[in-house]
Amino acid sequence: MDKCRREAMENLLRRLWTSREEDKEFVCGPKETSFNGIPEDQLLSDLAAEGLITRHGGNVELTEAGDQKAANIVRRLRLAERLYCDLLQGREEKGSSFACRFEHILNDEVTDSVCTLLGHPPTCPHGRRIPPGRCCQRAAQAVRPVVKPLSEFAPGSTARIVFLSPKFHHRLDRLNSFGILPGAEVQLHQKQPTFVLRIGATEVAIENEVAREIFAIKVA
Amino acid sequence: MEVSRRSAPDVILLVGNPNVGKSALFSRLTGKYVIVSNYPGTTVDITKGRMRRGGRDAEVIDTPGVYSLMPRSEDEIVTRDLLLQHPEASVVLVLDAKNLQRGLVLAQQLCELKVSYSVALNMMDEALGQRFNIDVEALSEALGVPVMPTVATTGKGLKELTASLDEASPGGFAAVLPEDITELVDEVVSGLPEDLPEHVARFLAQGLLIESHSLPKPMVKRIGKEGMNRVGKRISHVRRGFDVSLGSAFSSYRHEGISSLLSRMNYSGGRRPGGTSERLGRLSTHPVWGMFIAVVVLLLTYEFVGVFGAGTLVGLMEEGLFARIINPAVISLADSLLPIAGVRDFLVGDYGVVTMALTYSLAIILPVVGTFFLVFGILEDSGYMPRLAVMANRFFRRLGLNGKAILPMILGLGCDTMATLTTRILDTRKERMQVTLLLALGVPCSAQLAVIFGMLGSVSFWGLLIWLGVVTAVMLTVGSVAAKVMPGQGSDFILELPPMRLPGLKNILVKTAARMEWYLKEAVPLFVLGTIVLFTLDRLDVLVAIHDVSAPLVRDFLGLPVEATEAFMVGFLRRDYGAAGLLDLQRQGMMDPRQVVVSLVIITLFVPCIANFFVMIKERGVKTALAMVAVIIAIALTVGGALNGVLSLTAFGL
Repeated sequence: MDKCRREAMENLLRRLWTSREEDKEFVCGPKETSFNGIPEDQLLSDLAAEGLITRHGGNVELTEAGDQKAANIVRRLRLAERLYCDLLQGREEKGSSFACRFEHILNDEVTDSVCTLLGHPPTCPHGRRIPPGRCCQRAAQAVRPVVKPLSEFAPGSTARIVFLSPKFHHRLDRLNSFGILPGAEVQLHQKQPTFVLRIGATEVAIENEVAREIFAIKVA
Repeated sequence: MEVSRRSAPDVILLVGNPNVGKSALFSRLTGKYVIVSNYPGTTVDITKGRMRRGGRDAEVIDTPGVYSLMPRSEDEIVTRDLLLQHPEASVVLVLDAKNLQRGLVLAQQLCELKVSYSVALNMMDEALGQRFNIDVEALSEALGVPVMPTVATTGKGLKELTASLDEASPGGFAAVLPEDITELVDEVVSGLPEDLPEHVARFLAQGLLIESHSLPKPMVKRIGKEGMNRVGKRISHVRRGFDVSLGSAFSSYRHEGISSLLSRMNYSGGRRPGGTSERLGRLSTHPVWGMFIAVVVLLLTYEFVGVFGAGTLVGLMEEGLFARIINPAVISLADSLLPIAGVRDFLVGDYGVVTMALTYSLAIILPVVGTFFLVFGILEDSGYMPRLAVMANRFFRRLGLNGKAILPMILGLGCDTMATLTTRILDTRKERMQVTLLLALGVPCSAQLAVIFGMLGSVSFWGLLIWLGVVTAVMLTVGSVAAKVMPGQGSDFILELPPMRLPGLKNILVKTAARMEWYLKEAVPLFVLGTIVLFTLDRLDVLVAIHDVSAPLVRDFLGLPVEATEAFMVGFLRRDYGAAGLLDLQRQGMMDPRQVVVSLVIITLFVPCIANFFVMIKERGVKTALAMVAVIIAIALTVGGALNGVLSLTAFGL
């Protein structure tokens, strides 16, 4: 099957999927409607032949396989828009035509890499949902052991200290003497007006500047 | 001879972390006769008292609360030196049963110093309340010393504790250091005097590796400059070969030993203390509620100290006791007994020791300071004080200080002289200098405040705003400039928040009494000295000369009546007299509203009273004090002149 035909079929599949997303009924164009010079009716027949859609008269519905394939296409398009807007800092209106060309080039693996690179974005620049890929599900499940400064934890969380990197020696000694040592578990009670931590039964107030130098991982 | 040596009192040292109930234990053990004194050469106060033990008198010394005996702060140096000075002393290591991890560092260090000690496992009631699991026997066995559960606030377990001192020993809970580290310590030991006992030398050497300036002063003298250079070289050589902070390395080895002991004895609990104390503590550092609580506490403090202390009590003491009874009696006594006018004036004249210095320091300042210390003690013992510092931290950061500076600043509203003495609680020299300057410059004391508000009240609301705005702006500007210009460094805001608790009345009364005694000893002589200096200046006609020189300045530059000069000068002895002098001028219609505002701004900013000046000399040295006074006079006059110019130009209707 030639490339033009394939692209036309994919575009049609995408239209079917998005019109269902928008809760609109898919309406077949007039008889002479065509894509890339191929009549719509012919494309629909091809899609039906591949088991991606079912046709009941003028009524067209996606099959399960079709739904999945269409979602993938939409995902690629919207991720490409994100890529264009976020990473390449392009303008939104031009993003669509850029993305249209990209959606047919990307394979699944590259798509997932782009998705990870962009931090698994939930929506496209126009605010529509990006269908999640396998990479997004993995990211949501795995608890990532991220070491970050105490200043970035939310109040109420418990963290285990991994290392301290204070600007001054005496600051380290001072923290150590309160039991703020690598391996110790601390509860972060508040961040404003200063940080308040609990280590064992000791409560210590420290200011933001110092909290930024204590690196920890989340425990609970 | 034998007898006289035996009659020398035993020494008992109380050692422990801050906030473990050491002072409460101390006052339980010693009863009421307590001496608070300044440790020589430092700004650290230590408390001494006596108790009977085994039919003999023993001296009990309450050492400053510390986290380590490898000293990094003045407090830690003092505590370590006291231990070195009294190698035969019995030591009570006071531990907070809820915070063993921290306190046991001291147990290791006492053992390494071969000091005989017993452990007071204090705050047992709270620990049990928080469901801590503490195996006292296992702890005692591991440390190799007696461990006695105590509740210092009620006196529970104290008898057993005192008895256990007979079995006190260094025990065997020293930290285990790996060989490569002990070698480093050995290398530094070889630079120290040879006649030191080995364990002391090793202890000091380890301290040197953590902080190069930690040797006891007498030893530095003994080793001499050249010797110290050699020691310094060894230290930097050892440090170079080590890639992490040595202090951190030592503390991780110490904590390793402690953690393994605690897990062996199954020490656990205290996860969720909950309850009112917890909630109250949480609220008082909340960004919104905390502010609300802070404002309420400050208002109540002002009501008690500023209104009741400075108003009611001062009224009784000054107008009642001194003006009606003491002074007339002394004056008539002097009139009949002292025929020489000079001697008579010295005691009861305008600048008389009794009529001015004692009246001022006892009738006006003592009630203010006394009520303040009472509030201060309550705030301290309730655990609220550090929380107030948390709330104030951000503001004081703008001045290059941290939240702890709020305490002397508030005391300054009572009496700047006392407040300057309490700058000792700040961590670094620079911070003490900054606060001393700010107190002298812009914090009006209670005696002044009353008159200032009175005068401004009769001007207009705008007058009050201008006065407040100018003084605040000057404080902020000078504060942030001083933070940049003054040498030295600020300190981190890392502060323990002890649990909120209901303070014990007895403890607070004992504390307040000890502090008032301290005031009588430290500050009152300064007021007397100040009066004597002023008396002398007056006799030598120096005051008249100063008056004549500065009068044109006051008239032309500041746009004030010449008579204001006298008010400013008297204000140097007694800030409230200065303000009162201005009040007189206003009442006689000699000053218009503009002049009132200008003169009040000047007298607020102006040179502090003479006692404050002396206390600045005492705490900061003559040179610094003189420099500060010069800066303050310059600022006061410049700001006053500028304000006068602006207000006359704009013809601002007050």
